[in-house]
This record gives sequence, C-alpha cells and structure tokens, in this order.
Amino acid sequence: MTQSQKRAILTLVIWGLVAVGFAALFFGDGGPVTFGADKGRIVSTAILIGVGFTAYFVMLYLTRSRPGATRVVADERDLRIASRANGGTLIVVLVVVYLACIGLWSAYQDGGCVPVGWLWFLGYAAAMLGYLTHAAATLLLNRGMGDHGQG
Amino acid sequence: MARAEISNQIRRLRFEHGEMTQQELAERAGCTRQTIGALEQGGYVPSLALAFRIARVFQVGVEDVFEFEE
Repeated sequence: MTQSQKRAILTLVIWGLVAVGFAALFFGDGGPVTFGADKGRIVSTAILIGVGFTAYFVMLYLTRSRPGATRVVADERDLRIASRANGGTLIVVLVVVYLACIGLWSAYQDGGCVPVGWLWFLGYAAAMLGYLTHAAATLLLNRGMGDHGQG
Repeated sequence: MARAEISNQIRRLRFEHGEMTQQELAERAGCTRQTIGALEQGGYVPSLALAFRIARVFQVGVEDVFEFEE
C-alpha cells in the first residue's frame, strides 16, 4: 500500500468519525433552528472539528517519509492521482454547496430568512466533505489506474 | 483519430532478468511497486522519463519494452 493510500484510508476514518459526531451534535437537541443560539453546541462542535484537524495532522506526521528511506514513497503516478483527486474534490464540493444553498433557499423562501445554524453546517460540512471526497477519490483512482494488489 | 494504446513487456522482461520482483524493478527504476503493477496490468501509461528508466534497467531500448498501438 502506498503512502497516499494509507493516508486516504486514515483520512476517511478520522473525518468519517468527525462527520458522524458533528451530525449528532448539529441535528440533535433542537436541530439547526436552535444551533446558532446554543453556545454549548457551537463550542462542542468547534472542539470536535479541532480534534479532527489535530488527529489529521498527527496522522500526516506519523505517515511521513522517513529520512534516509531508500524506497520511493510517492512517484509520478501518485502525483497524477493526487492531481485528479484535487480536481474532482473541487467539483464535488462546489456542486454540493451550490445544491445545499438552493435547497435552503427553497425551504426557507416563504419564511423570509435561513436559520444561522445552517451557515455553521455549510461551513463545517464543506471542509469535511473536501477531506472525505479527496480520500475516496484517491482510493478509487488508485484502483482505476491499475495495480489491483497483485504481486 | 483512433485511441492510442501503449502495451508493454515488463512482466516478461522481469522474469527473463533473473525473475526480478516488481519491488526490485521499482527500486531500480525510481518508482513505487504499485506503479510497476499498474503498468503491467495496463492501467497506467508512464511518462517518457520513467519509460526510459525502466528500459535502462533491462538494458534494452524503450521500444523493446513499450509498444505503441493504434
């Protein structure tokens, strides 16, 4: 398994857990309508996201290339996969955020305003979606560009 | 324009050169084992530089390793 594949799997685990925790905090106990006024949930969510980022950067550090290593860690194929994953991630995140905005507008246009809690959701969800999409794209592209694990 | 395909003889050449493993070839060509695997399965087209490095490992020309088909 390459370094990029290892990192992608660990990224899916870390941000998947954070996403589940965030969803539980955001949609529970009053949901998006009360989220914006609930300082406790806002702080808890911020702590959760902070833990997620910390875990992510610790993971990057632990999976770094060791000095003096002789084996190639990331070659041209890995760079090509990363480039395609970046492009795909950008498109996915843009489309999802766009559709979410359209959805919120449709749902709240009669009410006159969108609860501010949804803005928190959009911000955090876009970041998590970016990490998750990039990791998934990396794994799919690794599979699609050959090497099905056969020695 | 017809789609170009690039096939290769890497697997055969590996076995002809002392049953070289994918890892050994990867280390000598300066890439990962996964890239060698991807090349052999036809799932990846290498850059010119990598193609030359692989050919150099086998001490043959690039066209003896890779074949351009249309």
